[in-house]
This record gives sequence, structure tokens and C-alpha cells, in this order.
Amino acid sequence: MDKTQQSGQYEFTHRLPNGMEMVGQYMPSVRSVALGIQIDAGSMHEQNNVTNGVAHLIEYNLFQGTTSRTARQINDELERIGAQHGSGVNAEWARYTASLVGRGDNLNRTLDILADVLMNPTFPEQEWEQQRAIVQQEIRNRDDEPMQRVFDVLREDFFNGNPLGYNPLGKLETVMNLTPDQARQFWSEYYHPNNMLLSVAGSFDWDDLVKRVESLFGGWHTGENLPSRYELQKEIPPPNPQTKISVEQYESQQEHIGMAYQSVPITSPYYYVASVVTEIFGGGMSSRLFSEVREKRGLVYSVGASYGATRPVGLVSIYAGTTSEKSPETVQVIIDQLQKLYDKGVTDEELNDAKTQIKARVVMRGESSGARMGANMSSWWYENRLRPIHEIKEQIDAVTHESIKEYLATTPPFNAFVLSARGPRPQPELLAGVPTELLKA
Amino acid sequence: MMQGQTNRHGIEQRSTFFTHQLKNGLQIVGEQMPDVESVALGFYVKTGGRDEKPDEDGVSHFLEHMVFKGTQNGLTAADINIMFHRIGASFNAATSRDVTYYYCMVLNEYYDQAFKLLYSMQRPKLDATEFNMERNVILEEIARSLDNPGSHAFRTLNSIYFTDHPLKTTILGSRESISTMQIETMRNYWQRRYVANNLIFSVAGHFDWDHVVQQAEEYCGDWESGEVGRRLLQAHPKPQFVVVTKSNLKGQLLAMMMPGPSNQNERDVQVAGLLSIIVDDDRLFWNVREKGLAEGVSFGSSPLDDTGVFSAYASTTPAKAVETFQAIRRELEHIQEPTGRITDDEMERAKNKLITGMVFGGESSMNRMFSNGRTWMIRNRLIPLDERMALIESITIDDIYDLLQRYPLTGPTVALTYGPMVQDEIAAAAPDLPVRTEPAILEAEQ
Repeated sequence: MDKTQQSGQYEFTHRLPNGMEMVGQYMPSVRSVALGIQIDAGSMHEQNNVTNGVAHLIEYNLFQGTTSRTARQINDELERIGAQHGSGVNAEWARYTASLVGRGDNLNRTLDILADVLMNPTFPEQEWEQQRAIVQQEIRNRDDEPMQRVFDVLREDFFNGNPLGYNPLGKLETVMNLTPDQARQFWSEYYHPNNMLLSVAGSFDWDDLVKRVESLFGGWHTGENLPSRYELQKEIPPPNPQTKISVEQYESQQEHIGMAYQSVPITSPYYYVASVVTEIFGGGMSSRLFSEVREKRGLVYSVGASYGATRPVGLVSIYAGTTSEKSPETVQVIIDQLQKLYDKGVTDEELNDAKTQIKARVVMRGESSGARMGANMSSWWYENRLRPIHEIKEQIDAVTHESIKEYLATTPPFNAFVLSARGPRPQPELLAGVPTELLKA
Repeated sequence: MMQGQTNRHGIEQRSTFFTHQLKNGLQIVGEQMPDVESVALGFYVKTGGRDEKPDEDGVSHFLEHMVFKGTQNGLTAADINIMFHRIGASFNAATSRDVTYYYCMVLNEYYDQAFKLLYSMQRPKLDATEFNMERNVILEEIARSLDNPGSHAFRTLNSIYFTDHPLKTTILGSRESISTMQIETMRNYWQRRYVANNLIFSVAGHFDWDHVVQQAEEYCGDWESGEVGRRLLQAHPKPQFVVVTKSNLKGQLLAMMMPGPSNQNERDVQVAGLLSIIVDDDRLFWNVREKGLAEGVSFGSSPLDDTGVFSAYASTTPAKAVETFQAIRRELEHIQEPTGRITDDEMERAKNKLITGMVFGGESSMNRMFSNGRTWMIRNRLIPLDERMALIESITIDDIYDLLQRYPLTGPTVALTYGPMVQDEIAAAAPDLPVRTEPAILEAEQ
């Protein structure tokens, strides 16, 4: 039994004087440890027609060299520890993670490297060119996958120019011209401790971790009073979606159809209501969409709906892929089901089953250090608190027909409904079964 | 029953393993994990696309769908979906070239309900009306796979590499085979392949072993046994370079396969796994991707029952395709030359990476259930994590070169490119291979 286990305390938080925040969850049953650092440095801070893609290129280029390590050294040192690192950028943030076995000084050594990568990048010129070439290929290849393409257009239309809708990958025309100087500029503006959250879950010692983080990051930008992520977030206005239909005729086997409408933001008291309702509507194999579109009519292989949310706004998105001859009926059935959901609500049975389903998922995911690290990261990022699993379960249990009714009343889907499709059918045929007044801009 | 102990990684093995066999041949394997609340259950059926007769193309996968459409003991499709949902199960099924499996993960208090659903599904009703409805879903799944360049390119390459071997299966079947398939064909296939002695029940996580055995005896004890087996054959790939031209794409995909070790020898499998990490993460990543040639590049080993393949894959653009292709083949050649010999450092990093992955996998009941079901199917024994770790630790660089003697990465290569380029534009990438242009698989029939 180690020190942390003896103390009996399993959840921890800490804030450094320079504003860097830390959260930790000790898991006595695991040997693994998952580490993540999240920074308010996502694509929403870019200038859409000038620097779109820079946040993502920075994510790649941080690993291309620091003042004391080459790209190869960064990689090889992490691999010697057996640490598997990952990173990702979306509209709201950049996240750097590592998964490792929590023994010896593995965690400290991993932190040393991540700190170096975040604080001392050199953005070497030649590597910059190579990474930029890679991203341009990624953009082209992504366009070849119809489902990806449909969702990219859908997001762009939904966010309607709002920074939260910028595609993190960037555009060919912007990425082509991005320079290391623009990256340095963006990095110095957004990569600072006041803007950063570290989350760790699994097998580790909290006191040792705090000491190490303080010695690594504590002297960085101390006393400089840079804007915190809380202030930066305030600069982003909520989006103003409008109804929009984008149908791209394309030679493919299936018609790939995406739809989306506005839902509640991540901090809303209706967050779990939205999760439950979307689960019932299109979550799994017993959802209404699966049953009506696939099981009863055989129109598709893939169909479903999901709810995703950011701080200012939430989004329900729907996807279906179907061959050309069945596509008008598929669209019609989905729209009918959506109207039915908003007219009639859900049944007792559906409500109870969806709650069980979501609770079980939360508990079972809670057995993985990586999932706990991510969940704690999100709850602290958006709400400045840790949500223990029992509390999440209580909130799911608290969803009632009444709260569902309220939620449905605040999220009317057809006020601003976006639909994007790619496939052989022209728009009028695809939407033949949908009342025209419903999808009027 | 066997119980592990602390190994030299300081990773304590706390799992307990169990096995049991019913009189009809159904095998049960269990791994108790004291620290989890979840339990993962799965039925492994040793059957897949490779076990189909010529008139059964696609039946394994179509049957996997039908298993969810109603059971002989009276559960309907809706019952199955709703009951899984009601107990909060994560559940699914998959069909591959050599195995079909059905699984779910639940909190341990729902073990009985979960087991009831899974065992009932192994005795499906195979109703004609449901069959005809589900046929449409399969046809949609085929169409969908053709719109995904990566998956379509891989299926095409696989069918060309295994041209004279049952592994050439597309798994999904073709539009024609699915459109014309009769339910009798499926019933016969089910009767032949889903016999008790061709199934393994794997359970991992939080459970009571005596209860697991008692339930299996009670509900699966009357299942019939039968003659099973599978044709084991050598593949004879013909070196060639196939060009699939898809003029509406922007990216250019490259893929190649060459002979690799089969599943027969656990040590070979692990040696090939380490080699793959080194080729993938050390050689191709740094000398192809990070040179800006291809946004994605990978290398892997797929050991199968009687044969195996190594495969390399790259996602690039027409402008870089020739150079990328040559660079990949150069790396595969170079690792076999004295100047390209694997270093101690590469070996250590590859081992560490593999072991970290195993520690994370060891904490997931779902992962352990999969691993045990598959290992039992192949080896008729279970391999605890610490035994597998010790095996990996014992592998030397010489072991890798011994494997490469037998399975050189410069061996008979079947390569494929998929994208806007035509034959004349890319043929120069592989002057040693006969080049031809072909339509992609499943599209030819249109």
C-alpha cells in the first residue's frame, strides 16, 4: 500500500500561483496511469481566412523539437518509458495525453518531457514544411471519405461563421501559407499556465506529482497576469445558426446524409436530459431511429443520432447512409420521427431503459484510468468541479417526463435546421418527402 | 485454476483463471478480476468468411446479423435489443475471415440476463421474413464499404493476394450472392458451423465461476455436437502491382501484402508483433511520414490459422505516390541489410510499448474476455498476462532476424494502389512487379 492509498483520499485538486490547475483521481485497483494536459488553444482563436489550421499544426510541431531535444529524442525518450502519447485539437482546446505504467519514476520522466514540449518548442523550419505537407494531404484525403465530408459541411453550416465551427484541420489555402512565425505568435498568446489544466488518474502519488509539476511549470510566466481561459472563453460569442441545406452531387454508392440542430450547452441543467433524449431517439440498437429506419424498413446499415456540447452551445447531429433509391424515404422517416419526438415526448419504458443504459456506461467506463482522466478533465474545464460517478448517476436518475418536456420546448429543431448530403441524388429528389415549409431558411 | 504473482515489471497479477468443457464439447474460459464491477461475456464461434462454400459467399456475416433477429426459444428482435438495453449492456458482434463472435459487457448484477440473451442467440430462429428484410441492410453495408476508400482498397488487395485460398473472402459477400441467397443456405451453414464443439464461451471480470458453469451446463448442455474443422491451405500469392483508378478521389492509397507467420506458433506471433512495431513506429514513421511523403503510413502482422501476412499501408497524394511507394519498399529492404540492423534501443522501446498496452488491456474486462476467447480458440490454453510479458522479454534481435529469414519483407509482394492515378503514371514505382489495371472488388459486377 502506498502513501496515497493510506491517506484514504482519492480525489485531489491544486492551483499553482501562476494559474495552472491540476486535478487527480487515485484508483487503487489499477497499475496504469493516464495523464493529460489541456490548454485553451483551440481553432476558435484563429482568424478563419488567415490562420485557420495553425492550432493543429502547432500540436504537430511541438513534438518536432525543443531547445534541448530533437523530435527523435522526444519520441524515443517517451518510448523508453513505455509512455504512449497522444494529442488532439478541436475548436475549444488542445489536449496532450500519455498512458503509462505507474511504477518507478515513469510519471515524473513523462512529465519532464511534456513540460519541455509545451514550454520550449523551437518550430524548426524544415520540419515545419514537412508537417504542413502532411496536413495538406490529410485535408485532401478527408474529402475522399463521404461521411467525414458531410460532417465537415454540416458543422460549417451550423456554426455559420462562428469561431467554434472552424475546422481544426484548416483549409488548403490557409495551411499552404502558414509560417513558423504565425505559430510562435499563436503559441505565445495561448500556451501559458494560466490557460492550462492537468488531469491525472490511476496509480500515482499526489504529493510527488504536485512537487514535480511545481518545479517544472511553477516558474513559467509567473506574475505576468496573462488572460486566463475563463477570460478567453468570454470572447467567443454563441453561434447563430440558420436553416441551411447543402447537397453535393457526387458519384458514390450511397447517399450520405447528415442533419443537425441546436441543443443545450455543456453547462446546462438539461445536459443529462439531452443525453437521455438523444439516446432514446438515436443512441443504439433499440433507439427509435435504428428501429424505424433500419429494423422495420431496411433502409440503411448506419443510422443514429448523438448529442455533443461545448461551453456556449450544444448540437444534436444525425447521420444516415443509404443507397440512392431509398434516400428520399430515409430522409422522410427521420424527419417524421424527429417531429414525433417533439410532439409526443417519450414513453416510461424508453425513459427508464435509457437511464439504465447511460448509467451503466458511466460506471463501466469508470474502470479505465484513461476515461476517468478525460471525464475529470472535462468536468473541471467546464464546471470547475469534479463530478463523482455517484453524482452523475443521481443526475441521470433525476431526468423526468417533466424535464424532458421543458428540454424539448427549449430546443425546437426546425427553427434552425441544417442538412448536408453527398451522393448521387439532386436536392429536390432527396427532400421530396419533406414538407417544404419545414426546411425554409 | 491458476493464479499469477508479481513479475519483474512490478505488475502484480491478481486475476484467477478457470476452464471447463461441457460433454457436448462447448468450452468455457473465465478470468476473474477482483478489482472490477463489470463482467464481459462472449461467444466465440470458430467460423468466418473462409469457411464458406462457393454458394455461401457472405453467409457468415449475414448470419451474424440474423442472430439478433429472433431466437428458437421465442425471443424476438425487439426483445433482444430492449433487454440488452434494459440491463445497460454494451453489446455487439463481429465477423472476420476466421472467427465470428457475440459479446456484451454489463455490471455484474446483470450477469444472468446477459447470459440468457447471448446463449439464446446462438440458437437463432432464422425467420424468412426477417431474413428478407435484413438482406436490404446487408446490401447497404456493402454499398457503404465501397464508399470508404481505405476499406475498399484493403478488401480488394486481400482478394487478389489470396486468389487461390479461402481467405480471399470479402466477408460481406457480393451484391449478387446476398441478393440471391436463400434462407435454407443459411440454415445449413448454421447447422454445420454452430455446433457446441465449435464454440467457446469466454467470461472476464466480476463473476462467480461455479454459477457460470452451472448456468452453461443447464442452458447449453443439450446443444448438438458435430463434425467441425476447416481447410488449412497454403496461399500462393503472385507478385504483382494492381492499379485501381478512381478518378473522383483526391488522395492516393498504397497497400501491399507479403507472407508472414501464421498463428501456429505463439513465439513467432510475438516476434512478428515486435518487428511490426519497429517497422511501423521507427522506420516508416520517421522515414516516410515525417519526411512529408504520406500523411498516414502503417505496417502490421496478421497471423491467421494456416498462413499469415505482413501488410503495409500508406495514404498519400498522386504527387508523392511514386516516391512514397519506393520509400516504403526501401525501408522493408533496409531492415534486412547489415546497415539497417535493428538496434538494442529500438528493441527496448518496442517491448516497453507492447507491455504498456498489455497493462492497460489487463485492466479492462472486455479486453481480457476478447484475448482469452481468441487465445483459447487458437491454442486451447490460456496465457496469463505475465507469461506473455515474460515471453516478450525473452525475445532477442536474433529471433527477429531468424523470422525474417523465413518471412523476408522483400518476399512475394502483392501491391495495390487506389486513387485518381492511372497505370502509366504509377507503374514506374515498382519496375520489378508486373503491373495491371483492375476494377476494385464488388464493383466489377455492376
